[in-house]
Amino acid sequence: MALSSILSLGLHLTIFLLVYYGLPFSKINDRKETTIPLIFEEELEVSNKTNQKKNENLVKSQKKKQNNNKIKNSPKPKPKKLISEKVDKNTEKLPLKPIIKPKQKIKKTVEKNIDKKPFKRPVNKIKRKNRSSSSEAILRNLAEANVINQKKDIVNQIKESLKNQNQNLNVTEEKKATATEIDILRNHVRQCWNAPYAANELNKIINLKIFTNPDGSVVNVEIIDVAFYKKDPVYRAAADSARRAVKDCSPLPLPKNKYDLFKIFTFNFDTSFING
Amino acid sequence: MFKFIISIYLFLFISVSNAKDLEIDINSGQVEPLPIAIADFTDRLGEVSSLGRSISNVITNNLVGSGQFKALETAAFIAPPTSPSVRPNFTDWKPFGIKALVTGAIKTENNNKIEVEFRLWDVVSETDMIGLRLTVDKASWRRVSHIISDVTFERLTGDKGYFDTRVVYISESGPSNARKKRLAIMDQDGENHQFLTNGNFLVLTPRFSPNTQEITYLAYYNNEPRVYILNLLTGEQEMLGSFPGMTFAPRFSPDGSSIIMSYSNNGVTDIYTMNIKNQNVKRITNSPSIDTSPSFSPNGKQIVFNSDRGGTQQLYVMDEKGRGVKRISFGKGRYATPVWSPKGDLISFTKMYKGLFYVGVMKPDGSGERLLAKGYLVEGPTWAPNGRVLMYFKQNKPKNEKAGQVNLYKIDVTGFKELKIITPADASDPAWSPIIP
Repeated sequence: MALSSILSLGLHLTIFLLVYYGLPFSKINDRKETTIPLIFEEELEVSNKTNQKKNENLVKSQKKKQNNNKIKNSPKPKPKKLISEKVDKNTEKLPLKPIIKPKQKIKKTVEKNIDKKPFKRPVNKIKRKNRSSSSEAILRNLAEANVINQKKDIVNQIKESLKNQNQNLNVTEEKKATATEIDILRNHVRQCWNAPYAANELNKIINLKIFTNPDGSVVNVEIIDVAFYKKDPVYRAAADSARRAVKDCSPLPLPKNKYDLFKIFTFNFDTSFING
Repeated sequence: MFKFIISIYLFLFISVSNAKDLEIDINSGQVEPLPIAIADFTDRLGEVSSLGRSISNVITNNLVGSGQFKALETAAFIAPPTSPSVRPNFTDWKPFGIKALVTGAIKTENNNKIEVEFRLWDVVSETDMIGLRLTVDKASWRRVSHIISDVTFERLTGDKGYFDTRVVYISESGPSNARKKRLAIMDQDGENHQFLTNGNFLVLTPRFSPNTQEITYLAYYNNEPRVYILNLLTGEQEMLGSFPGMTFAPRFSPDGSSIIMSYSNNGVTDIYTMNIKNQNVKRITNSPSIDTSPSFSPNGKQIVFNSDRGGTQQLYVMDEKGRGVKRISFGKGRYATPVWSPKGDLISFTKMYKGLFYVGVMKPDGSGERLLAKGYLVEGPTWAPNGRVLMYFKQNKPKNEKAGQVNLYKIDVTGFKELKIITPADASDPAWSPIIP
């Protein structure tokens, strides 16, 4: 009698838990990217064909050129000089103008350096905040800058920074991801995020579900609030910019041996920084 | 047995409750022009045509001129897909840092008509974002380019486009003591220029209706200021009245049914509204001070104006019946010609301080004042219908008794992209139209 009642209680409890939380695998299936209908005056078909044969050479040459630039600046000159000479010959034949590669390269090297030296992060973080989150940085004003306001901004930024640190520590306790690891990831992604100005009037956080590989490469990015994405053009443009940021920043600097934690996680993009 | 079952349930409960994903907040980023490539539009054979190149150029100029995009020159070296229905090879565009790509094609049909098809691609996510197909007269290719620009702008920024719009302004020519002023109209990018008056009478301060293709303007007939209303679609013109002492043309109410103006009577300048249909006039302010330049908020419930009631010329806000007058400008200098943004979030104004003129914006409560343009004489701001771009005129300092050159400029509200509008002669007093229906 006691056993059967326990079994019955257990069965009911299981059903309750499954109904309340859902099965883990069913959750993953739900996350399949929903196709978002496009707005067409007339439906246009897209074929997988491409006419870009000519350009493959161009792109290859550009890649070679990029490698060439990298090699030129690298500290090991001997074996790589040979390669760069070869690439130079190829690129000279092409009618392409020099491309703004150095900028991209500089960015990449900066990111790599930061990854290797996580302890320097907090300093970099505050500097970037000053530059990007103050309204003066985004909105131009010909009037003289108000020093008091700037000071207030800096105080607010430090407060926000401390708040973020506290938030990270809470996560650390629960998920065993350190504040530094999360900070590295956050800094990496925010460098890639170019939000549209109209998002300053958006009063909603953009939640993106991120699916990654163990090497940090992004497998998929899902916009969670698909209904609002379809409905609101500002949210749609801002969410697209956030998705581009995550994909552009792939591979992500995920902490080693903690893949289970970062296999599927959420980025919450907040556009309120545009207003300062 | 009991302990075993309980432990299984506990394990299940803990594992399920711990299934909540890790969440990371991204609280900052950049707001910079988005790198975009507009491929030359192809023809039926998949080759780039001169018309295709022209359409591509107009779209590029529009988007870059908005201050929210930058077009990379290197994109011109990449052959576009033969048709917008063909998926581009994204790896060709990615190395250049391009985030969005516009491809298109033109098919020439009978009766001098063309079918223009375009598609916007997200190069990073490798997806198509929006597409459109339009059939128009070949002569309207420029307008099609503006419509494509609007669709692209809206999809990528979330804001309404403003490229398929026109601007009326005062074209000025001749010496300063016999200046000829004519009413003229053009596309917002300065193309398709046309004169509306012949210059026999002095015309001033045209104003566009916010929802119809109608303008009001002030014309001096035998030294008497008269207000006219002109329908641009039908060409019909009507005189609303003669108003001695009036120096600025009236502005329309948001629904276009009435106009608001300042009018000087017995040495006192106050603000009035007039119903366009029955020409009933209502007095809004009644003070011994000079109240001028009224402009309605987009919902029609508030009015911004300038007044010297506080001793100096400052900006004030009141409700539509003239109640609850509140000063909103407190900076140094004098403030004039306030215009409420069509979005309602900002008020543009002219400011005079230490011998220089500025055009700036502030929030309707007076906070967040930013000065966007300055010069010897900078005046007459007008808003694009999306409330993100301002147009105004700038006059250079006169040299050797010769009047300084006057030109139109536009600037986005972030203040980073100021562009001069090329006009056949000197130009002042611009007024921006709503989106063309």
